[in-house]
Amino acid sequence: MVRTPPPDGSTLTAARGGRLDVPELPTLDPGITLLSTEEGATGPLQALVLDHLLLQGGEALWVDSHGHAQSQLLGRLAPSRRVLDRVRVARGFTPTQHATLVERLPERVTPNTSLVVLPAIDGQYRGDELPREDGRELFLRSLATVGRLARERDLPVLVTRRRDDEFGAPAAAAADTTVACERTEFGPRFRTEGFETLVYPGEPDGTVQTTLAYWTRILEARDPIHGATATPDEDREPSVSSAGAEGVR
Amino acid sequence: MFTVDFRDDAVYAWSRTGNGVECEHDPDYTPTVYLEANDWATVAENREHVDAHPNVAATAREEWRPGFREDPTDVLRVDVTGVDAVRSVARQLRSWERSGTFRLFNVDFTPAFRYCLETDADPTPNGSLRTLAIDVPATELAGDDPEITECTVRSGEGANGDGPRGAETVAGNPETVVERVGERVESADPDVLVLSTARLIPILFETAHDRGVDFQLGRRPGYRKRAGASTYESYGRVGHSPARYGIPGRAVIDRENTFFYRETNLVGCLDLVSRSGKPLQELAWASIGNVLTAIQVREALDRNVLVPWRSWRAEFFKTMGQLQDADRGGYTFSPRVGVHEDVHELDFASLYPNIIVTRNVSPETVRCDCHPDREDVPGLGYAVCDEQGYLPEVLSSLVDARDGIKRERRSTDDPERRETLAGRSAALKWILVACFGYQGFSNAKFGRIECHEAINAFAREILLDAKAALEAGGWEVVHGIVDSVWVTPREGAKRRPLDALAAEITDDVGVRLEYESAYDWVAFVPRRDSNAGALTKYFGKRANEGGTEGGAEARDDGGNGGEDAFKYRGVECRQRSTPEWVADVQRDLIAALDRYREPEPVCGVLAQYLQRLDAERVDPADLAVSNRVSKESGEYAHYTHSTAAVERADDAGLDVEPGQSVDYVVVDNERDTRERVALAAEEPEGYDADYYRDRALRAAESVLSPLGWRRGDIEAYLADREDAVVTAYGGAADGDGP
Repeated sequence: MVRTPPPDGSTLTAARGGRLDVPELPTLDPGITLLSTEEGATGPLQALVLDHLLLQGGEALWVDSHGHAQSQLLGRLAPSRRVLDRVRVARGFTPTQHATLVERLPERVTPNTSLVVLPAIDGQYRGDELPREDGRELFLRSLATVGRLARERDLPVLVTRRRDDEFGAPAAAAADTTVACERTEFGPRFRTEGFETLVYPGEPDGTVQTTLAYWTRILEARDPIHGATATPDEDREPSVSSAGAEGVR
Repeated sequence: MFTVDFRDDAVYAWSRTGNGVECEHDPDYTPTVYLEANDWATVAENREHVDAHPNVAATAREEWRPGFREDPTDVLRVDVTGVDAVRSVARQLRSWERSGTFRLFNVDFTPAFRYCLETDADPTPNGSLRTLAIDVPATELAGDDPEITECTVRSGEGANGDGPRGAETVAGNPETVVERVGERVESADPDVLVLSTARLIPILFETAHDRGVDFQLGRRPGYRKRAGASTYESYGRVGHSPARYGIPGRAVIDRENTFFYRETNLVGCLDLVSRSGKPLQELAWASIGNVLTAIQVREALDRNVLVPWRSWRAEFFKTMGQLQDADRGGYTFSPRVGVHEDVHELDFASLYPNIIVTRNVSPETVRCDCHPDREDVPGLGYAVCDEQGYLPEVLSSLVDARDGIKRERRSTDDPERRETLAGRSAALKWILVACFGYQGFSNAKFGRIECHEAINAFAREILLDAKAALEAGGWEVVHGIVDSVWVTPREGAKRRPLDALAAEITDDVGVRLEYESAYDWVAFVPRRDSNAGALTKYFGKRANEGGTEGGAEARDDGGNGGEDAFKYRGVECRQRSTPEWVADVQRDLIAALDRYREPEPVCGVLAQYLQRLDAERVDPADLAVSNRVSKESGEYAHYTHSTAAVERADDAGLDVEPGQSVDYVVVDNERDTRERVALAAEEPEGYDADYYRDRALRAAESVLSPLGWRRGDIEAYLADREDAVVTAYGGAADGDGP
């Protein structure tokens, strides 16, 4: 399924065939999904999490590492404060803290949990705080806990790696799906086996805006389908007023 | 007791007696660590292996609490054969089972602190200590195999505020210097050696060895290298940790590596020795966080709580919304950009420690299990337990002690006593200042991020309450940040005196709001890229009539040579990388602003400085930039001034480690080779005037932007003026300058 930009490249959600045409994002199915992004990319992980919650409802449990759960960044992406209250975060600042949080994840999962998020799942275990073998062992143990959780509870688990190298390789091996997010001249694109989405055209003049503003617009443009399936957010700010969203009207 | 030596797994503890010293030899000392698993059976299964370890002296089953929130449980006490074996034994024990199964406790204590802790020895010296200081100029220590041909030796350095006594400059060939230093040390027989750098120790011993001189620095022969040099990263900043040395029977203070001796004095250090239980040498070396940890370690063990090796205790889950609220940090009212007349500053005294004490904020009280439904922390909805927390207990004694010291200092006229008390007060101040940031530090032994967040939330509420009360009292708040508010009279309003308002606010929030100072005027500087106020960038002129209750210690004047009429914060002249000349220019522009209150005459002063600069009449020594090096040369992505400077330093055989500073003058900013800069030590004759003109203009913009003049306005004015000068005189004006 390949989506191409609209022919004139200027409208973002042009009505097509009588339905609202919204940019596409990959869905997160039960099992471990490894998201691989280019270095320094901000936004795709956060956008996928928020999109999932807006679409599927429920809560996300997020074990953070290396500052991915920046509340300000999430705050700017999220269409409402309410969805932020459906993300529960705890941050591991050391390998031992991270391992403790992962170990306790199963008891934190409730029937309302619809997603588990672990950015840089390998990140804490790489440092020199532990002897390298200890770090590796602790990492594998955490990964096994996460895999068991996904399997036994039939839960989508979204992970990223700090680096794509030998140390982080077990995360790829454990993943049921790998989604790559890469930059293109038309903006970021998600690619997975048998699925490719050109999520969104860039500006009419061909420039690509900062990634954060980009993801904010994506989420705004997906607002109609969010509204259709998710529990309504009473305090959702109207999103159609922002630049480029005219096509929704 | 005042110092401890470790040799061949035995301990030698040195104490002062009436007129001499005493050394107690303890050959049987065995340091102790603890081992715990989820159940005692796992420990029991492994016990025989532990007992069989060659470095384990004995084991025992004991009952301890593995954390402040946990109940007593069975743990294995492991006595290790000597301090040097502690870490390796701990590592091996943990690796036996799958990583993470065993938890180890009481592992990473410094050796002398551990000894005092485990043997109940008090490291506070009885009676005053004899000190001897040895200073060697840095130039003597350059190169691979330095030998010392000149140094200064004096006794009494720093003790009780004494000035240098019996200072002697020793010079000559390296043999003579070593011999003379040895004689002075022997005759003075000091308890404390204050060295300009501890690197002196190996250098002196090597020189003596190479040249066959019989030499001794300690009360026994020889010295000991305790740890090698290393580069580390802390809070994202690269630092350099040099080697540590010990000598028998004397405490060494390495002036290159001591926070507390530099910031306070010997009395201040000894005050912390008695509070933390860290002997003088380790105390002098320690960071603030390390001393705070030591104080907490003692409190924890007193409460039957063990000290975790690694911090397994993780954050609680919270919603992203809560995180967003918690991340806001201390409260800040955006400063009103501009120059404000008749400004008064009020500060909450030790706000964060007092919040901890009065609100019972402690790692084990915040979000306690016993009150899940209470919402005690404003805006965050965390519960705070009623049980007395350990952190408030630790801090309240420090807060009380400091209040007592400050009171005594105010009431005494004896300058020597005042100096002593100032040192003790400063030492405590640093600990109190740090206790807040430490709560948020991820790796802190007893820190907890929720404490950090709760403290912030209380602080925000307190500051907002104070703002409302001051406004109701007829004042206008022009700025407020963390623990300070600045007010001016609100026009046309009926005003109540600030003292009365402050007293009411104090009663209301339970933390003392003190009148800090009065200013004739204060200028709040906008950000460079917008008209919003920069949070901590301002300057002002102090009012003449008193009002500075806090006394000298509360003052911090940016070091402008005793002229403390002005206060500078966050502007260029306060930044350590600013060249002296640029700082001078800025301070002079601020003085001009005070005189004229108009931008044009201030620009006139600037123009005179720039003329001197263009005419190459500024001493290049005043243009040196001091920058901290963060990476090894060659690791930089961009070719910066620092890179060039580090390369030049390498060429000159000067070893600059990451974390150390390098001083350089920019001589040709256009180049991207090491010719771009010259080291200050090379004493360059010229400089890149355009580069320094730019720096001066930036500094000038900080001064004039509160009046609405940006860089473009300043440059336009300067251009007009130069045209006028050219027309009037047909050439450059007399450049003698200000």
